[in-house]
Amino acid sequence: MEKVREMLTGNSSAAWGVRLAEVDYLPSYPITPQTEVIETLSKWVNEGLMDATFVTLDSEHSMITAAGAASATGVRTFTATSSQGLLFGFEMLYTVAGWRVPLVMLNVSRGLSSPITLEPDHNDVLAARDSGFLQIHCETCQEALDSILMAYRLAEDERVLLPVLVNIDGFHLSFTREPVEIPDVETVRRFLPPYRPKHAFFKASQPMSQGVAVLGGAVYSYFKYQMHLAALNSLDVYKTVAQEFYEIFGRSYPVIEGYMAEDADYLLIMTNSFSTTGKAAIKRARDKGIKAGMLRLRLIRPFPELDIQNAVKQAKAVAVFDQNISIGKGGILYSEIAGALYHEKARPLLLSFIGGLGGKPVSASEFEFIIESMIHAAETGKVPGRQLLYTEDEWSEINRLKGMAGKQ
Amino acid sequence: MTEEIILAGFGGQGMMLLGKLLAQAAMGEGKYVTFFPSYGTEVRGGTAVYHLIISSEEIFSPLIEAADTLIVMNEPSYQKYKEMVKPDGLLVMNSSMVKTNPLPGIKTHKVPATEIASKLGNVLVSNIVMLGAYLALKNLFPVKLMLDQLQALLEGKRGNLFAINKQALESGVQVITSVEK
Repeated sequence: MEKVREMLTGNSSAAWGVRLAEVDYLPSYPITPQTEVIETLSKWVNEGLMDATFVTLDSEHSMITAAGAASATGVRTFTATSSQGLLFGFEMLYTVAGWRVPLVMLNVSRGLSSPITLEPDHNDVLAARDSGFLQIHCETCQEALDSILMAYRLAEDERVLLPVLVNIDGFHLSFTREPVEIPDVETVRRFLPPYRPKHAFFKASQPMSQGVAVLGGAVYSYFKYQMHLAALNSLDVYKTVAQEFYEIFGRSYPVIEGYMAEDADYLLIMTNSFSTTGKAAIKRARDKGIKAGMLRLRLIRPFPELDIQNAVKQAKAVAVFDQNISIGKGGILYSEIAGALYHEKARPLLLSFIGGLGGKPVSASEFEFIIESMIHAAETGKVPGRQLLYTEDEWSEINRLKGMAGKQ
Repeated sequence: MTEEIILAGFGGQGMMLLGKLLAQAAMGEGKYVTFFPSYGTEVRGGTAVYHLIISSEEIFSPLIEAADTLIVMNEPSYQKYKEMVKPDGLLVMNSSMVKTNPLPGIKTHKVPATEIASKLGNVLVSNIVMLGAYLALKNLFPVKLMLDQLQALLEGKRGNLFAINKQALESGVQVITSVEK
């Protein structure tokens, strides 16, 4: 296999994934920080480097509708959005998932309005967690490309047939450049052959109805539960796909990535790209002799309960870093992980931290605070309440701004 | 070896290109590298800042908390990012546009990049003057490698711009080596 390496942004790396997947149809609508993805794709289509139909729709709602409908005719389809755009098309997420079509969509995470911002947190993508879209969350630019390829394999598998949402962080990943290995198309074809749908396609000789109404809850319940079972199935399918990906491309993407986690007493759980700063903090803690480690969740749907239970078994304390806030409840992943551990006999103390909202940088000192909190909790047996991470400098800046607004 | 560089200037002063050239060279030499742009909501005249990390070891985060080197093109960038350079770090400033006296204790090199570029006939190459100065100071990559990259970048319609870029790069090197002599 010929190895090509280029300095790519997270966005252009994801676009490369789409190009290599030989996608047929690209319904699009721009939004910061995703626009670079569709710009790149439209350029390639225009230059004849991609044999696909590129269409700009009038909104994300139309865009996701078009994408789902095209998928239902059996063509490989891709679309991308972010934040407000994802929410504008939200109705169609549930609808398209119910159609059981293998659409792959990229979300470039960005905090939700209001107040309006452009920088990342995960309230946008996690809002879609109950929709029926499977979710793969990425840490690096290379992972963005690779995850797009894996997402099609997962979505198109007969045991799954659910759309997949691949998530990358806006700015911190979408615009960061890293060396990315771009595989050649022949090798990719070995991993991801052309899509030949058996259940939903457009063929004049074999007309079919799709997405019909069902009144009375029995049929409705049956279909919804079928989706749930398919999502649960997808966990094993994912593991097979990841193994095959590793064999062909040499890069390993487990459901949960462990970093210095195996013998760790103190485990930090994170998702997406801010985990890189977290890993640096873990490394520093290890250098000081603290047995710290990290689990980075890559699959959010299906939620890998059993893998989490096994991974935290030996830890004394676990801290969940949520880059999201469920207003009136707290960190979303904390709640989900707590739920997964409830029936475990030997479960670690579980701490909750919320940080990085609206792209707020998380400093080394904030991670040190998390690790110290875990150690303290393990020593005293007392778990502190949920905390929002903030540095003194940031707080004094808030007070300065409040002063300007006359709200001191 | 790890070199963490913050590059800052007005949008349009070419810090993006300077960073990309260094990142490209680092990748070519088989080093680990990340290049992270960060900018505010300003469309024009705002400060553009880039975090560039080059390392012989795997890089965790593309974000820099304390930089080994700060390259600043103008006064607002200097004021905004001067605290981010390590106490034993290096400051390379475009002295045509940064007039404040540098921080005490920080090793500082003043490069009149705008002036030099204007004299060469195109103010746009001021970033390449800074690149030359940086190469001479840190010796991470040979000047020849940068010239090859510039030539490849400017191939075709913009080929006539190579000569002035070469002059700019060499002038930047010259600023540093002439002081050392």
